[in-house]
Parts: sequence; C-alpha cells; structure tokens
Amino acid sequence: MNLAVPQHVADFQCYIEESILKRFMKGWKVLIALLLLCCATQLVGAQSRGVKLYGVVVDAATKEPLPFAHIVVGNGGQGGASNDNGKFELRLQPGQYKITAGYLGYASKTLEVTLVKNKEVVFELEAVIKKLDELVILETQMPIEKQLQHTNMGMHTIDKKTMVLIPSLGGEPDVVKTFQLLPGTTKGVEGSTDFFVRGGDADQNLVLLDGATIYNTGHLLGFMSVFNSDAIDQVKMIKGNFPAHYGGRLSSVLDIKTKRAIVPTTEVVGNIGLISSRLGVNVPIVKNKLDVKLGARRTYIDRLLRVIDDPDMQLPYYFYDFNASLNYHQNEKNEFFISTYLGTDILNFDKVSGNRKERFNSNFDLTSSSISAGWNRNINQKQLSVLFYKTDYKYDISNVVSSDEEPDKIRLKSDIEDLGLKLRIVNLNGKGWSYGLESVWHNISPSLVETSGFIESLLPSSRSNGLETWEWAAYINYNFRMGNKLEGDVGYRHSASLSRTTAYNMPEPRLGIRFTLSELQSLKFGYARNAQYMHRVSSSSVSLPVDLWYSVTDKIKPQSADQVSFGYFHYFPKKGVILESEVYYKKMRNLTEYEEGTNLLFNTDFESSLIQGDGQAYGWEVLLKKEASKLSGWVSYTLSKSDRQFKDLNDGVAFPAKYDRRHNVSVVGYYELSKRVTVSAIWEYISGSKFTPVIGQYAALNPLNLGIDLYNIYSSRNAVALSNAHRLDLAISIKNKPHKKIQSTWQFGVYNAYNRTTPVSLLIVQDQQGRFKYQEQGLFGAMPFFSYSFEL
Amino acid sequence: MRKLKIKGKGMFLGGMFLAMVSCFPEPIEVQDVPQVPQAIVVSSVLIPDEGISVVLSYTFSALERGDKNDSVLLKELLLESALVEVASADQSLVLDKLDAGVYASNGLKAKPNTDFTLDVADENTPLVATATSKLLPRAFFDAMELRYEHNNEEVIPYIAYQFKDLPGKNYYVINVQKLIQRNASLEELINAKTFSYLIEDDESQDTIEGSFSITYNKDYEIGDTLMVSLGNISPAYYDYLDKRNQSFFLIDVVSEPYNLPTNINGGYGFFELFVPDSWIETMNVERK
Repeated sequence: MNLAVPQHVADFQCYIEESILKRFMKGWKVLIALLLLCCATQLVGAQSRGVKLYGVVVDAATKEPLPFAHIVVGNGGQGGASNDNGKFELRLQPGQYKITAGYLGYASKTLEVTLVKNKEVVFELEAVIKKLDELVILETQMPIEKQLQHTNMGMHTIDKKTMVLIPSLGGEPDVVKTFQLLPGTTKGVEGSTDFFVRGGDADQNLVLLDGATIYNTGHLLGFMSVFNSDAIDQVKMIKGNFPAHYGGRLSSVLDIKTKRAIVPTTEVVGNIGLISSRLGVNVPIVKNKLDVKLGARRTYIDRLLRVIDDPDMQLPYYFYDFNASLNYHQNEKNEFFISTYLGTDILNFDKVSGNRKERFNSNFDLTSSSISAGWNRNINQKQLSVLFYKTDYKYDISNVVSSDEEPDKIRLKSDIEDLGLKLRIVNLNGKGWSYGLESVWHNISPSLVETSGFIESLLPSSRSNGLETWEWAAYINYNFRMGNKLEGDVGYRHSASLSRTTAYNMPEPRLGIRFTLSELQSLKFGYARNAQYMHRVSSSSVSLPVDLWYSVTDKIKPQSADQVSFGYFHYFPKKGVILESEVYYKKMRNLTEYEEGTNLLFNTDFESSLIQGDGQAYGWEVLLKKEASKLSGWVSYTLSKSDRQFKDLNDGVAFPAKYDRRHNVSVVGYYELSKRVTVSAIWEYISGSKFTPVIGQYAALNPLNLGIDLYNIYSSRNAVALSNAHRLDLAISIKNKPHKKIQSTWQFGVYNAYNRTTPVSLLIVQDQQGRFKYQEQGLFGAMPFFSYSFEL
Repeated sequence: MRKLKIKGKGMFLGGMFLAMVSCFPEPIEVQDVPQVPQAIVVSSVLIPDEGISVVLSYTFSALERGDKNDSVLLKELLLESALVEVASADQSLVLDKLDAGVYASNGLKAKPNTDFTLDVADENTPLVATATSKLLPRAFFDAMELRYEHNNEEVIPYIAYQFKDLPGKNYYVINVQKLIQRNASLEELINAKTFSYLIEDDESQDTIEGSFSITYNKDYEIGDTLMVSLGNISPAYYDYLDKRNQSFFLIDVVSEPYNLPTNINGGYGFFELFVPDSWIETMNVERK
C-alpha cells in the first residue's frame, strides 16, 4: 500500500505495528477521496448561479445575532434560515425582491432589495414583547415554526434569559441544571451537574465550549456548573440523531457558545449571589470590528468565614473561573475569535494536633481549562470553519500527616490533555452538502500515586502508563427535500482511533427525516450510530470529579450505540402551545464498569479492573410548552427504562442502570405580575435511583480457624430503588425602573420550598428502642437564596 | 474598633449563611428494602490425625442485630440441631454435635485426592446445604523464619519461607495470625484477622521460596506469638481467599460491591478440606 502519511503520523508510526496502521488507513483512503471529490464538485458548482444576497439577523436593541431566523423571498417561493451566528446567504438571479426576516417574539421585517451584484443586508428585528428578556421562555431559542421544520430529533436550545429566570440552587443560573428539566434528561445525585440522557451514562455527553471538549462540568464537587451564565450566548442540546459533524459520545451533545457579537459600547455586567459573585466586561477595541470580553466568578464563603476567629468554623474551599474572548470581524467574509476558559476548585485544609507534634494537611486542586481559536470564512454560499482547540483537565490531591518521623503521605494526580482541529464546510442556508474533518490527540495520565511513610507500605508509589490516542473523524451530510412534505438529512461519519498498540474505526451513519402533515404538524424519524473512544468510569455508588477517564486500549474497546427515535410535533397557535412527543430505543455496546470488588482507593492498576458490557434504553418523552404570553412555561414527562448486561457483573444477568428512573416530571412556570416583577416556579418529580445495598451478613471461621470473619451480603446489582423525590423551587425577580442607567434585578427565592428530602443514600440507624431501621438521607433542605445582578 | 465592626458584620453574614444552609431535610424512613433470606453458613476444619469439624450458622439480615451485642447475636445464629453428613466413595460419617453449631467426628479417613461431600439438613427449619471438596496432598515447610520490622512506631511481621512444590499445578496459602487466648472475647475473635498470603506455582520449580511482610494490621507487638500455616488448597478456595484479602481494604463508598464466592449450594461460606502444616513462633528477632 502506497500511502502519503503526514509527518506527525510518521513520528507516531514508529510505535505502531505496521498492520495496525494499515488497518486504520484503509477505511480513510476511500473516505478522504470521497470528501475531496465532494469539495471540488461543490466549490466548482457554486460558480455562476446568480448573485449573492447575504447578511445577518440581529436583535435591534442588543445587536445579538438571532439564530435560526427564517428568511423569505417574495411570497415564500424561496428562502432559508440564519445559521447559529444569525448569518444567512441566498443565491438569487438579478432583480428586485422583497426579503422578509422573521423570528419568534420579534416583529417581522421586510426589505426591498435590488440585486445587480452581491449585496449585504442587515435585519434588525424589534422585540414585540417589551419585556422580552424577562418573560419569553425560549426554552428553545429556535422559533416554534423551526422546531416543526428541522430534522433533528430531541433537539433543544436555550438562552441566558431562561437560565436566569428560573430558581436554582444558591441562586446561580446553571445551564446544565436547566437542561435537566427537559424530557429525556435525568440527573444523578441531587444538585449535581452530572446528567444522564436517554438511559446513557454520564460520560456519554459531549460537552463543548466554543468547540472544545469539556471533561468536567461541575464546580463544588459537581454541585454548580462550570459555565458562567454571563459569558454564554447560546446553548444547544441534541439527544436524538446527532448531525454528522458531532461525534465522540453516545448520548447527547451540549454545545455551548460564548458571546461573539461585537459590542458597540463598553458593557459591564455582574451578579452578587449567596454562594458566588461574578463580573463581566465587554469592551470594543475597533468599532464593529474587534472587541474583547472578560468574565470571572468566585465563591467567597472561605473569605466570609475567615473573619470568624474560630478555627473550627473555617471552610477552606473556593473555586474561581475565568472566561475571555477576543472577536475580530474583519469583513463580511472573515471572522476570527479566540476564546479561553479556566476554572479551578481548591480545598486546602491544614490542622495541627493539640500537642503540636502532628500536622495534617489535605490539598485538593482540580483545574479545567480550554482555549479555542476559530476562523469562519464565507466562500460563495458556503462557509468554511476552522477551529483549533486545546483542553486540559487535571487534579492533584494530597494528604500529608507530618510528625518528627518521615511524613505519611499520599498524593494522587491525573491529567487529560486534548489537542484538536476541526474543519467544516456548510451551505449558509443549511441545505445541500456539508462536510468536514476532525482530529484530536488525547494525552492521558490516568493515575499517578506518590506515597511515603506508613502509607507506602500499604500502597507503593506508582505511575500508570500514560495513554496517547489519536482520534479522527470525517463526515459528510446532505440535506434533501422531496416535494413539499418530505425533508431529510442523511449523513455519514467515519471515526477512528489510533494508539501505540491498537487501532479502531467505526462507520457512523446518520439519518433524520421530517414529514409535514400540515403547517402545524409534523412527524420525524431519526437514526444514528455513534462511537466513543474516551470512557469515564465511576464507582457504582457515587460519581466524583476525580472519576477515571480512560481511552481505548487493547483491552478497552470503543463504546458504540445505535439509536432510533420517532416523534410527533403539533403547534396550537391560538394557545401558543407546542406539543412534542418522542419515543426512542437505544442499544449500547462496550459500556465500561469496574469489576465487582474493585478497590477504588488502593489501586494503581485500574485497567485490569475494567470490564465491558452492553446496555439498552427505551422511553417515551412528552413536552408541552407555552411561549410568549403572561404565563409561560413547560411541562415535561419522561417514561423510560435503561438496563445493562455484563458477563462479569451480577452473574451475567441483566440489571437496571443506576439512574434508571422510571418517571421524570418537570413543571416550569413564569408569570408576569407586572412589567417589573416576575415570579417563577419549578416542581420536579423523579423516580429514585437504583443502588446495591448490604441486605445481610454472615459469620464464618477465619482461614486459621482462630477467629471469626464477618462478611456482607449485597443484593443483586441495582436491585433497590431509593424513594421517589419531589421538590418545589420558587423565585421572584424584581427589575428596577427601565429608564435607570444601571439596569438591575433582584432575585429572591427558595430551593426545596417544602423541605422535602431527595434521597441520596440509605443508612441503617438505631432508634431510641435500640431497633435498627432504614433511613434515606438527603443533602439540601429548604434553602433560601438571593442574588443581585446589574448591567450598565 | 474598626476591626471589631468588620468582624461583627462578617459573623453576621456567616451566621446568616449557615442558618440558610443548615436546614437539613427530615430523613425518610423506608420499610421495603429487601432482606437476605435465611441460609446456612458453613465453615470446615480438618485437624491432622484428629478428624473433621464443621461449624454451622445462619445468615442474618442487616436489621436483625437490634440492640443485641455481637456475642448474643452470634450465639443465636448457631444451628442448634442439624443432621450433618460427610461422605466419600468408601466412607460415610454422621457428625456429632459438640456444641451449638459445632459438629465433629474423629473417624474421617483423610486420604489425599479423595472427594468428600457434605450434606447439612437443619432440623428446626427446612434449610439444607450441600458442598463437595477434594482433599489435596499436604505441603510442608522446609524452612520458615519469623522476624519483625519497624516502620516508624509500627511493628511489622516478616515471614521468609521455603517448601517443596508438589507435583502438578498447585495453589498454596500461608496463613498468619497472632495467637489469641482460649477465653478471648467475641470482639477479639472478630478482630483476629488472619492474613492469607497466596502462592500460585509455575510448575517449573521444585522449590518455592520467598518472603512477605504484613502491613495492613497495626496491632502487632514484639514478643507476639504467631501461628504460620502452609496449606495446599483448591483453585476455588484460592479465589475465595484472594477476594477476602481485598475486602480488608474495601470502604463502601470507594469499593464496588460484591459477595464472596462460595461452594455451598443453598448457603454461604466455604467447605474446604486441607491439612495444614502449622508452625507456632514467637516474634522477637528483628530483621536486619
């Protein structure tokens, strides 16, 4: 085989068996040739097809782009939609046209355009609801009409307005927890930012921040998301058939984009909350061309308690995060941006014993960072996007007991670093062919253990072999229309991974079809196969930020899933209500768990403890939502089942997944009491998660028959469910008068208003009569919160 | 004065925060957690030239302890009346009850490579249990040396051993434990955790030798008397002991749940017949 191998592949090749590389490249040769052929055909074919009308649709007040706005030419014979950045491009014959742009919650605007040569237009749409930023529930930022028209199943978008209105733990708007209120998405432990989509595991969600993969979504041991709501512009979640340009995870995509629009004047936004405060500054550097956006957030309970001199009242924990971006709009054809994120959690506990002979120090340092650099270039009716990113996620935990002797010390370190490149070409109107390439280099140091003193005799220092994996994907997608009723997306993604000892590749076909029943009703069908080359393995009892991330190896094969889904969508315009109902079935292979009895603490050889098996999930989801009126909100319901089957777990018998929650209900409502005052509420009902309790014990002679051993007897795996949970959260938001220079909002609320336990664990406790009984414990009771946000 | 004012505000704010977060929800009492069904637990002892004894008890549920202490509970768990039979191809024995839960016989013909079956029928409940075990040839130490090491203030037993590998594929255990008084309390019996050092031969060596230290238990002192015992065991029992060793380090939250393997049909525990080579040594020489 005569292959042109890139230099960085050649460097790597010396480690690799020749046969592995050949196997890897075999599938790629055909696919890359196909992609090059498509590129050439498309770029040549784009010539001489009339003149170009391009532009952007923005909010007239804020200049924020409006994604998925619809563009209609004349009486509707032609048209398209704006892309994620509010941009659109149409190819028309020279002549005079009336072009109309529309968007939910905004007055449509029509421009008369004479086209002789390429022309740019800007649609500035006025919000038709005066208090749009307070009241319109854009749970889907996409207009309702577009929800009926797009072909992706289980796709939702939200914006900041939604996040800040609804009550949240500690009053901190949280994008992840907002999505947990949508159908098909369930949560882990109460308050945690871990989420589980359509019966999948927590590691199966692709979380992107400006295109870079984020491995850890939670601060505060997972109780608060790492995403600063002030920095976010748009969030999109897909849990059905992913478009072909998404991959690498099985269950969902959470695509978060920070603000891109160039600000006309300096903006300062901030928030003072109970747990943390944040401040953001957006500064134009060159008018309409270049700006810089900065945002930071920090908790301060550690500072607050420091003024109390009592050492027992200290909480030496804090986190901070920082977002920054530089955006450059060179012209209508070229845009550049650099965006970065840094978030750190630090716990540093230091205690000296009473006689000052011993000193105990515990340090926990968890850092997540990313940097993305992107370039978007419009070529004819297409857009070329180039994105380079680097992600780093690491933790360093040490516990030291110092005395006169050698210190007893244990230190655990782990590090994941990704270097990635994405190339994508799309039609600006979203129709026809789109294609792209992705490459990411994973460099993983899964577990470094340093010990000394007595601990070393229990657990010797060790360094797990670092893992380097090179992951590739190429994809192609075609959006087609057949008559007025049928539209679809057919896509193909081919992914592969290459490491020193092994190679895997996997075809990933995608299909989304929409059949229009009427202007107000549509049916949708979706199918997707997804592959995943990075696994996060958690304890069966609790997920932690320090869970093990592991790439594929000889022994650990890639996960894969096939999912089919079918949906019915109905819009009731008189009531402003949309009904979405979807059913799905998902078959998952090579899911990864620890084998029974694995010791997760004193273990330096995790790979030998990892085992793989299969899973399946199916369910029915309903979402009923009402938008753009005094009372807005949604009701979501999910009926689902998810189970697993591993040869080496539970005697090979299928068992329920830990978060196999049968029923999940969310009711979210907003009501405008006056133009400045809004009340909101969330009520959730969720079936209990599953776990494996100790149900008995036995005593047996020890091996020397000189004593007695007591052993636990566990139930079959995940055989017991915690109690079902329900909770009510309330909030009231009060804005100041609109003519004030500083626009501010007070929000007061209470989380878990009726103080109901959401069980997280089952304990055996002894009552006053000495009898033992089971008790389920919760984490958060009724918890008031307040926040003050401002903007100038 | 200024500092005091700031401190006062800080304390107020801190107090307010704590008041807010200190509203813990009432725990929920639950009744429907399944309990382990009662079953027979088997332990077996083969005493060289003396016979066999089998100790039988019941499993107990997680809530069963009530306000009983371990001693009372364990006494209640012993099988008061059971028919216990041990049989081989050329022998069948009904074991005599020596005490509650303890059944024994001194008439067992302990011939190596003989398969034995155990049948237990509880006379107070419908519970039965059966198991089989092959008596493997006995292994003997050629040499065994017990020393101690120091790690800071800890005393760590160090054992060096040498013995002849028996023909074929073999699995061995060296069990080590501090001897306890005959009148030891139940708590002492429960805490007397035997350390089992496991050896799998590679069939290429005639002699197996090596050494190990016992680091998990901090309770050793210079001058302790230890029993060190070598046994030739079955692969299934080797796996059982391996899992048992791991259980010493397991903490619920950071360990995956599992049940120890068993060869008892209808019950728990292990029916393993092997004749150990036991040495009793005093630990009073430091390893240099």
